[in-house]
Amino acid sequence: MKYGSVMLLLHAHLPFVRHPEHDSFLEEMWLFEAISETYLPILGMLDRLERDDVSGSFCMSFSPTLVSMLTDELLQNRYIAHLDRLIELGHKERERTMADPEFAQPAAMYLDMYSRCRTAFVDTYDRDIIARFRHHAETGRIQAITTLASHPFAPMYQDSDAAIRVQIQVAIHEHAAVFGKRPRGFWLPECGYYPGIEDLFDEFGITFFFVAAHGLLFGEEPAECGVYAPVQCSNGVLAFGRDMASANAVWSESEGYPGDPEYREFYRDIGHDLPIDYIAPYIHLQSERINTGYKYYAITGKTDQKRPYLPARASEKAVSHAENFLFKQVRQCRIVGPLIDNVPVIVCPYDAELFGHWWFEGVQWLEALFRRAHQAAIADEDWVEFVTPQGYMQTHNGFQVLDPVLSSWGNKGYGEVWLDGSNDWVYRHTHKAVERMIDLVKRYPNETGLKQRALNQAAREVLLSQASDWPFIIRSGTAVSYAEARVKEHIRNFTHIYDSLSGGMISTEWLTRVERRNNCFADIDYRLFGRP
Amino acid sequence: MTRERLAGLSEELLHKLADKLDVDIPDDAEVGGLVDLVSDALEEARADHNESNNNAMRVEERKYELARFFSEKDLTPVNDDENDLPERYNETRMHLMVRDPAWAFCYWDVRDEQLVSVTADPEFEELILRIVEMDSLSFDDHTVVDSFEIPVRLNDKSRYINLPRQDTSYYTELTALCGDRHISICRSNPISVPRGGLPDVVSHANAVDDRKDRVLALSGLEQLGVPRFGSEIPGRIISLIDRYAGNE
Repeated sequence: MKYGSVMLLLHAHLPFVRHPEHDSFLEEMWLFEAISETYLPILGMLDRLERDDVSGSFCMSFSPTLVSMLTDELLQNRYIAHLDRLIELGHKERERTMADPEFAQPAAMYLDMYSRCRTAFVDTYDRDIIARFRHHAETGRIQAITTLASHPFAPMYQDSDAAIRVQIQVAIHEHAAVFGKRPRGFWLPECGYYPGIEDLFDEFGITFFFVAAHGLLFGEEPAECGVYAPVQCSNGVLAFGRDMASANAVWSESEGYPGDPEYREFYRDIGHDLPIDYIAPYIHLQSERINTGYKYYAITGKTDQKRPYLPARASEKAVSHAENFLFKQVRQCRIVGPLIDNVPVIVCPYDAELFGHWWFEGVQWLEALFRRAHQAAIADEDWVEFVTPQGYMQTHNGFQVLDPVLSSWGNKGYGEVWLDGSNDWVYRHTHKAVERMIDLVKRYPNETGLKQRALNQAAREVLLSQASDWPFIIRSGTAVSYAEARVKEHIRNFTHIYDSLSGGMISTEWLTRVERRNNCFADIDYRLFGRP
Repeated sequence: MTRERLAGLSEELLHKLADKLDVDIPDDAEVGGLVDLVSDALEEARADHNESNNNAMRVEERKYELARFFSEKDLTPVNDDENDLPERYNETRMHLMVRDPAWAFCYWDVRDEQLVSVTADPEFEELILRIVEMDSLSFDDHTVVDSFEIPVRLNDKSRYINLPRQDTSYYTELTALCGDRHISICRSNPISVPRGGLPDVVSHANAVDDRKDRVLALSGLEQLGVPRFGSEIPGRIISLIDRYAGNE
């Protein structure tokens, strides 16, 4: 018997990092790691589920900055070069570990994994993995949605409709350009909602978005279905509330599935463990130790004495955890169902990069979820159906009218991660840039040629400066200098254009260089900042 | 950053990192001891930081974790004056941002000429940041409910403000105190501050609706990881959480 639905959302996002001015650039590896460990494995899973005609679908949000990088020729070429280095390292590792069966097994697994990544990326998908995601969106296996163009934490810009409106418009345009149709839904970066943004969504035909659980539960009136049904904002747009129990089961490193002793240990990497002479060609600048992706130990427990990683045993555990997850969802729906007026839906949004990158076996877990749910449906056991928002909305209606409240999935539920003593300086500049950009449109409402190019680049720089990733990283302490430099670079580029236009002089050479470097949102029209 | 990598750093960089981590270095510390101290402090900082994060933030940080916590690049930031932004834009404005139900952040700037003019008043005493609670988010149609003041220095440019009440609206105003006069310099945008808790009708319900309470109990109220600024979860719902949601 079917007891309810599970709405899985994977949010795929990385900030725009592209540095053609350098032969190689450390932070570009964020993308390369995610392609190998997350995006290609998810695509492989989708292809297998399609081949085997396994039912079930889910939602994926693709950030415009990520899409821009995945479709960029320079980064595609660099990814292939990156893979070639990892494959070369894999051959060396196979040799090195040959006499050591405990490590030979994971070493062989990585060599095979990176070799298959290369084949898939170059031969199967012809470097364009977004095109393959589009295929799965067209067949309904995923519902592709988008997020704000440069991924700002929206509540920090809630006083500027223009700032958020442009973020929405550019995102919709970028999405339609690669997926062939406009998105129906939005993922808000960091699940950061502020009251009123739904009016902008409505303006552009967006029919649903997601909020943190307390975004619904702390509303003016009680959420009659809790988080087990969306609410309808006063303007008709639907807000789906995040389920905390299923979130913690997958996010928590101590109590969740990813912390199981059999799974791969994220923190032990041969980039840090092996002698520098050996590993130098595969780390940053041949001197700075970084993660290579070759990790040979299992989590084991809270000990430094880690056991070697056994892939087969970890795979078995992933299947068993998928069964446990499904059991819990069925149980939850069975309890909740009789209490509400709708068939319960459990909404589970996750960062896509969790799967495969930090939780190495995460994609195997996902695939097992779909396969087990499919088997249960066929056998008419107790089951839940994996649905997309669109699929759910086609078959359900009559939702409670309730406006959500300010909320996010960040620490303590609001904005303290993106607004604290380390990063609050950012907003004086990003707010000012928006204000000046609006002023530029008033002064130059209908430019062509070089001035138009400059104004369009100014608009790009304004958007890029607002990315939530920079304040997040500044607070996290991992790549602080880089994140600070990025905010400053975009504000400085914008200001340079602002001042140059005022002075009537724009350097074509400078502009061309900046356009080539920060080349996302190719079709942006600066006049968007001037529209009411 | 591993102990091995720390051992390869110059003494100057180690001291720089120790400063950054607030490590007390004994006068007679040798390089080996310095490495140990910095390494321990790094681990501790990492653990503290991890502890301060919720699950979503921990996972998100993994995306950017190529190196371990501090990379060498962060020890030697690019010293590029051109990269610096102006501290201010020499304009008179004030912007108020809500961070959570308890805190707001306000930044401001006052045009040089205006500040000179204000401080030239013979009765000028100090600048005051006024925090005003109002009963509406609209300046056109509001009544002041309450207000309080915080003295600020001439060179202050921002301030975190602990908000006394939730589920209400605020704005801030920078004024110059000149004798018994308050001269307004600039006023911020208004902000709306969320309740930060369950609706009153749930918290103070006399007639218990068991069905709705059970749904709330099952919606993960005890797992939100969100401080409550209003009423606590009513006891009747906590008992339901124990009964229905705590049966893992």
